[in-house]
Amino acid sequence: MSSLLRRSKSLPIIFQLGETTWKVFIILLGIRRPIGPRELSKRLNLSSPSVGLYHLNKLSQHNLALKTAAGDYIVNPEADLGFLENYLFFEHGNIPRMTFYASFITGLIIIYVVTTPFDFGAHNVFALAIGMSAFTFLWMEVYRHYSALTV
Amino acid sequence: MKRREMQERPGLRRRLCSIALVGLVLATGFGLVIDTVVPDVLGDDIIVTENMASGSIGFSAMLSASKSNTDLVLLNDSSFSLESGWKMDFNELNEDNPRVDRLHTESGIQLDFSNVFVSYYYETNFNLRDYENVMVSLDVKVLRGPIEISLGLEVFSDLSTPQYREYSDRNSRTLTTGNSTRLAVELNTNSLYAVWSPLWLVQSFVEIEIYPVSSNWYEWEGAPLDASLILENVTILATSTTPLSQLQVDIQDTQGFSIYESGVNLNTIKQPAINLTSDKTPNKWGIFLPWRSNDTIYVPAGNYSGIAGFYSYDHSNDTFPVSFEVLPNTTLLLGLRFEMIRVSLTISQAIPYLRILLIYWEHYFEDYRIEVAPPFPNTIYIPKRIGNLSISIHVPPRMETAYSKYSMNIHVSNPVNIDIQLRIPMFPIFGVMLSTGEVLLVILGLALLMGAILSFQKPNTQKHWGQVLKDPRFWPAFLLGISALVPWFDSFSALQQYTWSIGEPILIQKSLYIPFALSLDSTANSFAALVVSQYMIIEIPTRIILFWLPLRIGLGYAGNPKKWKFNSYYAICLLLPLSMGVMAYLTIPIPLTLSIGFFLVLTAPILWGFEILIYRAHKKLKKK
Repeated sequence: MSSLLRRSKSLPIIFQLGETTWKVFIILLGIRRPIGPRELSKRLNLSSPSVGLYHLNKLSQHNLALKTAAGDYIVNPEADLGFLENYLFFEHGNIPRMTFYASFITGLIIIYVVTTPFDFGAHNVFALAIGMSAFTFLWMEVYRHYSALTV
Repeated sequence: MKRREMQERPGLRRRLCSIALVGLVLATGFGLVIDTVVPDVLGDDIIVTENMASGSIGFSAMLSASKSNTDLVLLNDSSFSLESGWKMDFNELNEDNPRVDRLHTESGIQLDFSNVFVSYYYETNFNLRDYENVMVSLDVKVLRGPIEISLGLEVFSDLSTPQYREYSDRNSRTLTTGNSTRLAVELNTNSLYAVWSPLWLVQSFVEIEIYPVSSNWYEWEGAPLDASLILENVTILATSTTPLSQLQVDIQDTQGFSIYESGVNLNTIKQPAINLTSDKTPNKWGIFLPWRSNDTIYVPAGNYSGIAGFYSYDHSNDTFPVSFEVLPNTTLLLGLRFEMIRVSLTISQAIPYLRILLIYWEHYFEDYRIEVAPPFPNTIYIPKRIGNLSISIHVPPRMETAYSKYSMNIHVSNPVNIDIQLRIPMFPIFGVMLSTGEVLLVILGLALLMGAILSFQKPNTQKHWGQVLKDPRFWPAFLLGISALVPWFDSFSALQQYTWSIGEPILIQKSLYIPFALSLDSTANSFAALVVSQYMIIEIPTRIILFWLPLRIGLGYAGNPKKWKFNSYYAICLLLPLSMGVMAYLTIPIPLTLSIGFFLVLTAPILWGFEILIYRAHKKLKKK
């Protein structure tokens, strides 16, 4: 978060959003294309498209979304996403970017365990200790990030 | 960070530094511990030294007083021990777990075995010319039958013989529980000598074979292949018309050390022996092949000459002449000194699968192969050849397939003494051999696990724990958790015997810890070792999906509402580990017997079912 604080003297805008506006923003991030208030209200089961439009306008006012010529809304590429930069967004959800690092380390450990005979000498123990620690810390962080946005 | 921001958040930099420092100190401490206590590799703990052996080939003769006899006792030893020359073997009859338990008694041995047939054999030499007849006998008492037992005697001559000679006789009986009998086989040596002359010294082989039920494999199907019996009073007696004296032959290295003293069988096709001729019958000959230290035959008094050397079926090597005189009422101890390579072994620990392989290469051809496993002999003797001796040490594998960890080649042109000192960098913890590195990794693994659990732990009140413990879904899931710590299956299997040059077949006991894809392997002569399944790539994800995740989810239900309602997801959580156990039982290609872990997993869904049924029955009764 320190990088965020360096960039802005106040809290990032995303922390100032209400719950529904937050959900709308997450939808916009995941869908990666312009979306209109009608489609949005269907996706979020909102009472009417005008409610969707209200939240889209709110995002637009905060410079988080841009209105296209066709009247749809898209994420502003210049938007200050704050901690959301740590995630990759897809239509049906999001995953922490750290998943890639954790998977990469896990793959390396699997290949090491399968191909290298264990003699439990110093080299072997160091490699396993580094692998085990990195594996645990990274997957813990993946879990923590994932639950932070979904729970 | 700007000064103003730092002032807004007092102590943040200090805290940041502290956290970084704690991480750094922990990592440095652990790293230093690894660097200090973990040895580099096994090769550093092997010291191989070689030095020239002194002395020369030749023979020595030593006389001692003893009475010449016409009634000769060739064997009167029912100890059935390796030290007294008895060798034991067993072979599996089916795919069930083999078992052989031996109890040495004062008069013999009690054998309890199942799913195997057991054989004992004893090798000796016969003097066909001077023995009138030979009688081999044995007393058997069956404690649990039926059994089929046979006593066989084979007489043969296959060393440097122009024509291979062989004669055999066998006496078989089928006995049931409570039966006792004496088995005997008699050989008329005179009539055999009449046919085999000029051959007067031959080798012989006594074999006792015991099958549970029968030797006919048609009768094994569905029968309990389990037996118990006592073998005692085994004797090989011979008679002669003239009094005979003892001739003892001991095969030694050039320094005069008996090569058979440590019980090592050379397991080669070229064996140290002597081709003997009596001056009284110069046209008769025969090979005396000593099988053990101070091996004995009985011969009439007189002058003898012979050629000692390494004999094989068609030729002899490194020969030297020998002549001596046998006097009446004496025992002659003949020491034959050969050029040998003496390999002395000093092994710090006995662990399963550890073995030492010695291969003698002569012009790119494998001449001798000797493989030793626990219990290791102190000394191994190998006939000297000009060539390369390769020594490989196969360390205990952590995977199920062994690999050569350390090997070296020694070029041999003269007799040498090779000392191998092997310090296994492992120590037993509760009977399980572990290395320092493994212990450290286990500690690190547990610390990481505890850290992960604690960091995700939500604060629980005492009341909540009370709810968890009173939830009927807690105890079945708890049983699943406990099952991970105990073996699910046990297995016994005999290691291939033909590769081991010494000792008896090795029975490996495997205790399978299915959730970890691990087994704890041990033998009677070694500590246990942890061995990872060779199919770990498939097994580990399977274990996570079918055991650890259901366990985590199952435990998660405890303490939540609707505890007395049937929950199909929870039921699946209890049944998945059981299905994994059944799958493992059906697919693991070794005979398995169910153990406590499997029973716990089996009990978990039954327990939950009973809890719900009892609750419902109780509720109904209350309503009435």
